[in-house]
Amino acid sequence: MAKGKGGTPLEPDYGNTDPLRGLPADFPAMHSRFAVTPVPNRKPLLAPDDDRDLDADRAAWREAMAEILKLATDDSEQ
Amino acid sequence: MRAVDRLRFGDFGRATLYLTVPRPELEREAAVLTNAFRTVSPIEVLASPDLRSVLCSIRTGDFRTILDAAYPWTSSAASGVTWTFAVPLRRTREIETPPVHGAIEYTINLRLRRNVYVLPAIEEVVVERILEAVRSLDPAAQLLCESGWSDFNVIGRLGHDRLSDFTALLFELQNLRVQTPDDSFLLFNDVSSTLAEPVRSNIDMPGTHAVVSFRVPPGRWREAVARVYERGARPFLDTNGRVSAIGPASAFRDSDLPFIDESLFFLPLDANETAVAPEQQGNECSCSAAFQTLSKQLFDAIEVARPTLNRGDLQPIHDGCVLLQRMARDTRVCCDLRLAVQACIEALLSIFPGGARLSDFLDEWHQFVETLHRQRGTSLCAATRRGAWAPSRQLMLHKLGYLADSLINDFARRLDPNAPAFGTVFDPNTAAANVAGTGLVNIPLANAFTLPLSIPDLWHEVGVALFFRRLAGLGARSGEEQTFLITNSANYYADLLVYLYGFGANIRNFLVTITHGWMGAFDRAQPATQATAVASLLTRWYLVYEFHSLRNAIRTHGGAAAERFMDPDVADSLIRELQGLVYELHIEDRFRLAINDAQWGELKHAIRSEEFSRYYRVLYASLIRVSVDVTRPSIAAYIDGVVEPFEDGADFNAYFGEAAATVIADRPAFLRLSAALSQAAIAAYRRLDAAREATRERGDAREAKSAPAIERGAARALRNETARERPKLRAFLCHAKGDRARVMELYDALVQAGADAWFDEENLLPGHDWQFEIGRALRATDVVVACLSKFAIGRTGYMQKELRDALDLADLQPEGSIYIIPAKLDDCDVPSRLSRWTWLDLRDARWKKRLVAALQQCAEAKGLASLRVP
Repeated sequence: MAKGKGGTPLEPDYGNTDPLRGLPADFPAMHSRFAVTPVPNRKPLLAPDDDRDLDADRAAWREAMAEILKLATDDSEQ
Repeated sequence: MRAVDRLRFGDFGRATLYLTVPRPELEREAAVLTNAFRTVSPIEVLASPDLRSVLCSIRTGDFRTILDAAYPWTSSAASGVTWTFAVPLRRTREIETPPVHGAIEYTINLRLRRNVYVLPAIEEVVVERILEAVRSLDPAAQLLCESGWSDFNVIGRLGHDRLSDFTALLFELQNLRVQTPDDSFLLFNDVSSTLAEPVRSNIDMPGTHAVVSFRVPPGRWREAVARVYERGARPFLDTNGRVSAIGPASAFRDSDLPFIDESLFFLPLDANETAVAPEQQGNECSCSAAFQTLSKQLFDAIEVARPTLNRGDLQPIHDGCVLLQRMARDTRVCCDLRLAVQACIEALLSIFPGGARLSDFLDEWHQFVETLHRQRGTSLCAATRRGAWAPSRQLMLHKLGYLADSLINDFARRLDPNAPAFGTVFDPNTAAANVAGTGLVNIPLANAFTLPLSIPDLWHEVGVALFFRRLAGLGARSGEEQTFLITNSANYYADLLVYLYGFGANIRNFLVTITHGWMGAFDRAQPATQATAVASLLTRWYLVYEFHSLRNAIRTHGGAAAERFMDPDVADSLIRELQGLVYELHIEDRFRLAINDAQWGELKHAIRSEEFSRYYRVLYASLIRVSVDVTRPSIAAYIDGVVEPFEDGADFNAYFGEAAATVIADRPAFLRLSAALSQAAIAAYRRLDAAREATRERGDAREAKSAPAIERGAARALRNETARERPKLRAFLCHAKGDRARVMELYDALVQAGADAWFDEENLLPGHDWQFEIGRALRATDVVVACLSKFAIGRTGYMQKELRDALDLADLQPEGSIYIIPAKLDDCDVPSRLSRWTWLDLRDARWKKRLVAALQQCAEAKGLASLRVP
């Protein structure tokens, strides 16, 4: 996924019908809404991280939210 | 419709188990069963008069416990095990009549004919006619509807003196017709019956003939027929793998006839024997004749090959044959797909060449059976097939699968008109799962009778598939971290779609159903796993809740109200609101889910992290302005067991979503709700299917005005579809370099016909990675035209790889669709791996017309632009 500045990962691409497109080579063969088997060595999603850069967190929040609000309130596409 | 005419389902269902046991084991098996299911409800074990078959009936509101028990166990002596599950069905205000006591319990199974489904309000008519016919024999007979919604059961008790009357009733039922203004239809495709009585009795029926019908595996027909003759009885063969026999009742006592399973009934001695031919009377369909001829050839071929096989090889052969029989007997498949069924058998005949060693062809056979299994929505791999493909479950499950398929595809089309087709499979997993890239979704078997509970999971898997379709620029990077990130993103994105499109932005329904699904997966997990999983559940709750709050703020108060979301501290108040909602919905009590303060605290940190904002929060950006209809459908009538017809243009998924949330939150009689709702939906879908077919055949939408309201809706939808500009059909030309000139002619014809043809000479540009481009074009194509010539066939080269890839992709195509068209450029032989498809001969003057006709069929099936003959 592009981690680029302000880039939304959801650029519609309705033309491609290949269902495997975009899947990484080692993507699990089965996807479940609730994965029952924990992946070994997976970093817990909510692991407390004392070294975290709180400023970077806040900046990322604002950046994401600014983009969302821009999309939400921009009437130019209507 | 008057209320009195409506159908109503009861609270408790009836699970019936039929099995065949060697006579010495009969009493032991009966004791095992009584013991095993005594905790579910009192169980009654009866035996058929031939003392080989056991019938065991359990009255219960909980089919899931029975399915989870997964009888037969390996220690069981039983074979030919069949479970049926049915829910009592009655008309409102029906008067209860006192039961008739008799020694023999009878069950009559009635299968509705497919063309009867399309008649309006037919369910009421069918119930009326069955009860009219049956009540003269047994006023207390009970009518049940099987879980597949196309089979009815009549059960009751009789004395020995009424057996002849009982047989007369079977004939009467077989000949029941329904009259329409234009035509008259037989109601039932198949009428079969079972008689049983307490295990220890030893009845005698002097003066009667018995008729039995039993199943014979391929290769044992001759043996079975010989045994019937030995007993002084007369056999009748049919091509569905069954033998019927008629003779003195005593002939079938102590019988060692193999595989008696289906029917056993009695006639007075003076009855006209020729009157007894249930298959011939019940089936007017012309497909069976063609099927008979072909399947006889097939079974003969298998018979020749059988001695060369070991026991292990026989299993897939048997599986394949049973599947074919099912396809041919399936009321859905019969007329619509007869060509496909015949093509399958023709393909099998090519696998069983006379005189050759079958073992040489077993790999091919395995592949074939695998393909059939996929197409019939049974399963993908051997391990899951064992569960889903147990014969006891299969019949009902593929009918339920039809409903699940229709619902999931409706949902996908609503989100994206170009979404790939989805199929469903019932298997013993505890959570719904999507087989990556195939569109095949596994539904937990335990939800077979509470299908609404699985519907949010089906929506979720659609969301995951669409996430990958829409995700451009992902690249093919791999690695555990990347996979983890993508899996999470797909889940979050699908959650948002479930909330928005599935539940019409109803946050309560979303929270309740996702938590229920989560409990199904993690209820019995290890504490450490469960703790990680709780954390993941909280973030999933939170993201959707944040989206819900922001979207509502903007919709209610405009953009200015959303400014407070710019400050990350807003998360604290959002989490407090979420906690309040969780408390209000009793989620922790209801699901015995203990969330401690530390976990809520961790959530606060996690959802403010840079990673969460960059990867997950932005997922809802593209959905923030989506407007959905938030009207919640009313399911009150279905909760009461009433089959309320759907409104014209109703969103069936919305009803099932509402039912899922209601079943989880309020726990009404779920069997009754599920039965009534599914009955209404399946009837509506079948009428829609019939309307589509009729509209296509007539090609004149005006006639649709006289159709019932729901059919008019379908006709409208078809017209709207035609009005839009549709994409072109893509055709891939698979060829050898040496045939360039002739293939160019084919390419020109395709382009002139209006197809988007891919021909390497035209489409590959200097600098292209040709292997990559060819692979991409092949995966994206709708049709592959395989150009065959003496030159191409005898040559090694990249064409062979293209062909192999195309054959793999052909396996993923829907049943009956056109995907590979072998095109003969000269008088070469068609390779055996391509011989199952009808070829096109370019030496035939009409080849362009035939090619366009085939492509047109494919384009219609996929909703693509029409083609014209150049």
